[in-house]
Amino acid sequence: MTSLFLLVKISWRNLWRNPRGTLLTALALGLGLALLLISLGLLDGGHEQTIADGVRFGPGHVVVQAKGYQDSGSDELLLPAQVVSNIEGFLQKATIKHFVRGVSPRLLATGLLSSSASSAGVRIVGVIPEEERQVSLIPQRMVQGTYLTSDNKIAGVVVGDELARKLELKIGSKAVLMTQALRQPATANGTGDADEMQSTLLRVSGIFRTGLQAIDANMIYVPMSAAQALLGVTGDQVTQVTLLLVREGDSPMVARRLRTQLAKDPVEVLTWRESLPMLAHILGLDHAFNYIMNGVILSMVGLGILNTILMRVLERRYEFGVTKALGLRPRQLAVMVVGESLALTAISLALGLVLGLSVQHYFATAGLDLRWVFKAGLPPALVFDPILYSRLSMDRIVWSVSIVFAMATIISFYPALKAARTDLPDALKVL
Amino acid sequence: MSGQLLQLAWRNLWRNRRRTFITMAAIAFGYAMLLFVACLMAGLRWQMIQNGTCMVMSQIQVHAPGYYPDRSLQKTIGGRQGTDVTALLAAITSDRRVTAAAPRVYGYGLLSAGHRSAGVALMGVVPDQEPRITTLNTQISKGSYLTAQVPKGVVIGDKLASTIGIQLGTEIVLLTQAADGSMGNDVYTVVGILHTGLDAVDRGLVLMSMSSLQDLLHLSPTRIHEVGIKLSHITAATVVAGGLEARLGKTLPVRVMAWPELAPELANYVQFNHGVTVVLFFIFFLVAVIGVMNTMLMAVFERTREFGMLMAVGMRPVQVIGLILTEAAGLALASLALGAALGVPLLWYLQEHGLNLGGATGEVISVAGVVVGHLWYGRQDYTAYTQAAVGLAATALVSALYPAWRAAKLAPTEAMRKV
Repeated sequence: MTSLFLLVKISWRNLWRNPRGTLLTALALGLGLALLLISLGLLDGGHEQTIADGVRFGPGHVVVQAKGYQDSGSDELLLPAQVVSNIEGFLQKATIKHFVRGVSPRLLATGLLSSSASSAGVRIVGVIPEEERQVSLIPQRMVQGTYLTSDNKIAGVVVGDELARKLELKIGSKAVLMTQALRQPATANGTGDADEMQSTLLRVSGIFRTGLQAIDANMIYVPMSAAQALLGVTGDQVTQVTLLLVREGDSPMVARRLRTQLAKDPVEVLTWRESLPMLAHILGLDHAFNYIMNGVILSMVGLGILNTILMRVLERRYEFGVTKALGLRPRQLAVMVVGESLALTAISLALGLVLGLSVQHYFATAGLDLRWVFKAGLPPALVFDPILYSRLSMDRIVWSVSIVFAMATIISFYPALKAARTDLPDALKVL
Repeated sequence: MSGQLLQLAWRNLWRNRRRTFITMAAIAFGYAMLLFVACLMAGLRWQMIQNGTCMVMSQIQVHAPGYYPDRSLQKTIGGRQGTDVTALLAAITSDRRVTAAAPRVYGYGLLSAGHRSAGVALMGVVPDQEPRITTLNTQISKGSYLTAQVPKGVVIGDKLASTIGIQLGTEIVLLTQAADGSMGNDVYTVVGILHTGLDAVDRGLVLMSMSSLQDLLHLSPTRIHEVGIKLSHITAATVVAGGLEARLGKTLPVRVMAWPELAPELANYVQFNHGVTVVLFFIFFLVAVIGVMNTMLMAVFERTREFGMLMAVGMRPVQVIGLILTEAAGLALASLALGAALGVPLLWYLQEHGLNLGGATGEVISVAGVVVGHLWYGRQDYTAYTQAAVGLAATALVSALYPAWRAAKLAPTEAMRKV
């Protein structure tokens, strides 16, 4: 026990015999870890940003809709009002409330929007403005005017800039929205009444721009009451209830609990992975990309450690010869070398953590503005936020620190073995 | 003298092979990794552009002025008289950078089969010319591509087919407003089902031969809406488009647009992605630089005693520095060559076979107009390779210079006392 303690003490002293060299090495290894943490943070940040944007332009982290809606896309499938109130009531419960950032019911339909200039087929989204603000990104992407408010005399409508250009709409312009009343299963009798065309007058209250053609040229947002009146939907029925969560990772759990709660109702509860399979697939690829990049950077950091430790040990044959001549046994010499490597790694990791986490923190709060990469600047239409926010979970930090430490430990065995096998007479030859 | 210096440097490198080898490994491995990453990143960029442009759109489009983006039926190239299509294609392909060009006609109509109908976009192509500029013919999931045997055959998107309930061989009716204001309608047979992964195409495109679409729309064979162009180097698209517009514009009023203008979403995504990869590549480069720097610094610092000896026997400090720099330069060059040699098979593999990212379905999907497959191909980016090589070589030299300069500053006796 004393001898082990002695060896550790010798290792520690060895490190500080050449403080400049040690610090230099520690700095180099630490920088490796720091860069690993920074790149992990940026990769994960980009990943999460894509999810966040994707779900906020679409159906949220979790969506509840009538059974079969996802597959058929039939707008005639509606959620009964008591299901909606059941969901909203359930989400108010203390046990689940803190997982949820926003809940917004939506009524979806297709229609024809006409201005004095032209007309276009559109996707109608009926929303409750105050609740939609909590969930959707559209209210944050207004380029002119304001998002919907519920106290207008003529119902407002929010349109994308592509659609506005096509129909020559401006803020305050009037537009007529025409659609077929939804044929509801309860009242449907053959073919007759469903073909009834309905129309309503709307006033453009705002124009948004997401940069996504499919949204900017197609989607229009109208107040829920106007949409329900237009579509002949009675009794507060909606197409879907969308949920935005505080953390993406809770989606499966929240979906499961909602499923249990709504087991008796004819509904489907989907997480964004199910409601946006394309996005899930893209993110799968993105994940694979991140893994490859992590692999590359880890192997580079690993080789750096290998080089450093080998260099440190192999240049000290004479010294090891002397200690051996003084009576240190090969095993003890090996322990000393491993101890020295591990102490060095520990210092490096500490340095790396401080460096890496401070840079990471900067990128997480201020963000990395990708615009400086391009001298010409990005086009004004931005699907993707040009500022990348780093995101690093505790898991990732622990994972990278332990993997680097494990690599260093394994790598240090080779030179330790080499040192233990030092051939005495040969090593003591003066250069 | 310089001959002697070279000889001495050469011998030094072989004297301590282990040290030489470790240093070489640091540089060579770092370089090989940078090659790998640069190749993958260039490949990602290229694949996004390639998939985005070659599926339906093509890389450059020639239109009559004002045709795009509203696609009014009347605005054919050359106005109402149209133009000599063969001559126009010949004029376009006379540019060496253009590999192929093909004419197209577009229209809108109502497709009905049985009791169901849907609004569709009609695209008329010349069946044997279109495959030279897009990969539409390879994306048939059922049935076949357009053939001369079935002049009234059409290919439709798979989502459209399933919504309307159309199978191979189903007869469909297309109803449209023709160029002369009359209503055109005719019966066609579905010969193929298309799956591109682009939602707008799969949901709403009917592909047919250009001549039958011209018949349906009552357009004469000289009237076309668009010429799609494929280039040998996609990066030159904007420049080539500008050149073409100026050259063709002398005889025929045209508007020539390259893909960044036609698909701003794609250009946007490509740029965003480029930004991310530039930052990542820079981080990787730093990791490699640190590895090289650390190894080189240690390799030279440990030789202080040796340099003291050399100075004691009469070598001047400048010569010592020269010696070390010569060694470092030789070592860096050899290592970069080794790294390149390690990298070449890897790069070749990436370009030829691609990296399988799993998702094994092999299905092609799209987001924001960007189509992604599960295979990730590499693409050579010689600029990045050169920058990485120069950067690493400079790092090696600078990291050798610092300890060399410190050693050369010492008095020989002092230097020799260092262990």
